[in-house]
Amino acid sequence: MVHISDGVLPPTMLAAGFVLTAVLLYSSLKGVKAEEIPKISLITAALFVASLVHFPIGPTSVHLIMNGLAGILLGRRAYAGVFVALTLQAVFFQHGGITVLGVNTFNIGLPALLAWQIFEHRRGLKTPRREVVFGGLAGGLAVLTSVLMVSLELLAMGEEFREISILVIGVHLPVVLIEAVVAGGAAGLLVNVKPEMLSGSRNRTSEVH
Amino acid sequence: MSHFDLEECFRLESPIHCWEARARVLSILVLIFSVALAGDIPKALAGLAVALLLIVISRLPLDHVARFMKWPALFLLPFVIILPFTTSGDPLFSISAIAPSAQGLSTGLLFFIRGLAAALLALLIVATAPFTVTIRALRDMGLPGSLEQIFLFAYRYIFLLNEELTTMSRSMDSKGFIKRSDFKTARILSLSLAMLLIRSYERAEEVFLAMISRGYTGTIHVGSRREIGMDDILKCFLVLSAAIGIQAL
Repeated sequence: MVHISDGVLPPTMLAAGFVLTAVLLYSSLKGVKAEEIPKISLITAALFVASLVHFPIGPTSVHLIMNGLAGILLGRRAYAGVFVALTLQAVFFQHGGITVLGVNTFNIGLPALLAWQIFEHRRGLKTPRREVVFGGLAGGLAVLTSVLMVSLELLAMGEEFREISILVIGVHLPVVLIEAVVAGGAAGLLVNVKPEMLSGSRNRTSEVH
Repeated sequence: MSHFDLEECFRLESPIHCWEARARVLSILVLIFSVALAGDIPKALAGLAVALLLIVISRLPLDHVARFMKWPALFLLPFVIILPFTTSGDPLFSISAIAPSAQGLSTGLLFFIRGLAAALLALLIVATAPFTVTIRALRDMGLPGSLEQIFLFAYRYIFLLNEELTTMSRSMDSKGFIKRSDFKTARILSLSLAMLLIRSYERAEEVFLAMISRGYTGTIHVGSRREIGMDDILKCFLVLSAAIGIQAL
């Protein structure tokens, strides 16, 4: 439910979502180089495929969102990645929708940028496990922020949406913890095995030209 | 058919399949917005009827279409169930303190019908032409070149990653890995996802270097587009009339 479906939000919110997403997309893709495209596309595809990975929670299961990991890997390009991933999810999976693309990208993409900024602060910590710690923080907080944004938007529609807003938060609290562990673990492995994949690291392919 | 086998549908022949890409994408997008913004249940039902009619005309297998609708139905159902109990208004019935309101049910049903109709139309866009053709149409309508390329590359990588993920899951299953609701499962999943990313990244790098050696400079040339004919304009007219009609009801 972190993807809001078509048909739920009022026109003013949809319009605001498209305007904000257009501005952030422009900023995200400004100065993008040809050699960055494969990496952005790969992480975008990973975001899409991540929604196929289910984690068991008692009798039910939840799927991963991975916007924190997208921020950790792509930096400011993450917003464009989220936009493309959500468009593909909307048309191929019917998760979310076309008219809510602006709002959903804002809800998931802005926290991805927040995750990138949190992860950038790892350089201040002098411990070999700093990528795990900051990766976990970034991954968990990105999902938490997304969930809170969705809840606030639903709440802004009226008092009658209060219970649904609470339900959205409740359902996603386990996802926050799982994503923190997954993003922290993944960042820890990546820094040891393939550090150039992390945001801010020098991309080897850029040396081609 | 899985979500990744939509390409099987491209081979079907129907008036939607042979509709020129730009005209088809633009008309259906306008219809999606009209349906999603329908102001009341009769308008939303009219939108759903138009969406179903287009699905029937497109000859997409109906059982597959129904399977694709599972997720929007699941996401929208909480509104139908919860809103009658949280919205004040005329009670539908009353059992002690439980009195669901007609207004709440009406809002929930409106969301449900609009959402389902819009999802059907979104499926229609991608199931009636190869994805490259749809993206090319969007490029012709102003999609930035960088986004076009991310769409095209990402679409291909999805198949690659899904294949890798399936192999990895099979390998983990064969080693006795069982997903549980615990920290260890989350940790193993994180390492698997990171390895999946690393493997795919290395393959992506190789593909990129191969592309450079073949003269890639940042633009992809997709096949030429066909001109918009009178029959395409007629289909646009019909669909756009339906979009306006839904709002004017």
